[in-house]
Amino acid sequence: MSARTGVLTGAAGGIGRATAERLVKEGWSLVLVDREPSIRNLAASMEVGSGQRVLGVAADITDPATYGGIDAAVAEIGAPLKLLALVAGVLQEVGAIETLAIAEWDRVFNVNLRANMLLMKNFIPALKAADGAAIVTVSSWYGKSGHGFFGAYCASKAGLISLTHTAADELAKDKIRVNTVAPGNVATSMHLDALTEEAQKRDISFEAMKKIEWDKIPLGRAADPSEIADAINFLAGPDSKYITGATIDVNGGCLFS
Amino acid sequence: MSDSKGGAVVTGAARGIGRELAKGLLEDGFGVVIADVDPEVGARTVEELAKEHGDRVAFARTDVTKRADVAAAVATCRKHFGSINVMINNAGFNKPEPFLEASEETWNAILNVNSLGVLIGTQEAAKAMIEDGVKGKIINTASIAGRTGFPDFAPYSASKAAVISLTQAGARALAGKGITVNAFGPGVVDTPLWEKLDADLLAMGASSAPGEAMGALADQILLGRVAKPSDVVGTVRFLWSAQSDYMTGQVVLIDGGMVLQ
Repeated sequence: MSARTGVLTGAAGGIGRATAERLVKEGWSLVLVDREPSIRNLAASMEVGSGQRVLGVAADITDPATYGGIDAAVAEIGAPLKLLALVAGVLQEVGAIETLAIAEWDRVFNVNLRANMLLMKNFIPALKAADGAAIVTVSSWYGKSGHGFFGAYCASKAGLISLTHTAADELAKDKIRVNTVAPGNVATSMHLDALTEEAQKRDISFEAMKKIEWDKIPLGRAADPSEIADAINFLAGPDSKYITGATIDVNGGCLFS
Repeated sequence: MSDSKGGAVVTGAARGIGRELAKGLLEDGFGVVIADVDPEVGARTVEELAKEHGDRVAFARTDVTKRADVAAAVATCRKHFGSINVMINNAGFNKPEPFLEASEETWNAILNVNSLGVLIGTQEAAKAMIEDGVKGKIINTASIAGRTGFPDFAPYSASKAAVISLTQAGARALAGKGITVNAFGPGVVDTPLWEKLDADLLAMGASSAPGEAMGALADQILLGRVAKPSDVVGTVRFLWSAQSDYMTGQVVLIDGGMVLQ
């Protein structure tokens, strides 16, 4: 396949890193974006084939003023921008709506929803110019159903699914497909930290909390990050060429919708 | 064959989407049983696929509403290819009737093939997978009509909603055995089923020219065209591959953007 560039956010995290590895294996050149400055080292450490490039850019995706570095990296690679993979997301501090701090709600919405809209705005012109491109968002099964003490997170992910549908509707004529992957529980530090926090809140052990959550999953385990990366790769590639506005639910059966 | 991935049964594989899926499975190294109720077209399909894939493709005359037929198709797969690793419950048909005129006869015929056929196919495939210790993949052909009802396709819409329910029930029942059950939901696909549908809708007076009914639906598709059977293969390949191992009980819509949900 000819040279093509993708921009991947949240690239230093569990799912992001696995996705970077998967996409590089498929021949993509990538701009890896993360707020962690270590992203540059991660990018430099990736093994690439001839003609492939991976650049790392440290940026705060909630602040469009920092997007210049991403634009510059895309330009430096030079191949058409055919993928915007929006993996970056944050969990919220577990807490009831009644006591939820507005600042916490705003922080979660800024990253999970607003930043993704801003990134779409910024990159849609380049994606249009590529004559065939894909946007893949990473939502959550928590965006398809509400869960107590996760009001901000669930609502932000529901909003992201809606934003995905809207973008699919607007951009189909420009040959840009827009889809979302809705993971269930994924064995990343984000999930394990949430289990720890929830265990403390309930005053039970981490193992007991993990068993409570994983027993709800028909396949009996959390996903490996690479399994979410596989679905993102599917939506980025030619096998999904007739799919737009869809959700791929990679959740081990914990939610049927 | 050293590269063999085991066996697969595809019902309704003589033509249309089923045939394309059988071709994709063969290309991926599976042995495939073409299970179809039409022996003539089925035999021709096997003959054509055998040109490239030799004895890795076999035919089993199968009425999916008859348990013995389905069990025999599964047995053929195990005999020829050692095991059944993938089951695609794809056989289905539609007969449009205006909602107020949809008859019991049509309801029974469509629900039997499209829904009961999926239950029987899932059961017979799963029993063999469990016996052989195969962590297999069962994939059902649903439809956008299973997600949203169409007035002239009431029994068909209900039958495909049932396919989604059976997918979910099967996923819960079989997860403990390492068997996953998922469905894909095509939108409007240029297949013999849709050609006949277009002709039936014309005869019914629901459209006024050949191709009009299909064209009207195509206008609602974001990607601006109806699907080709080959558009469906990539997604179903994802579902039969190890890449979807963490998915079960799910429906993937391949509709070019019709039902956004």
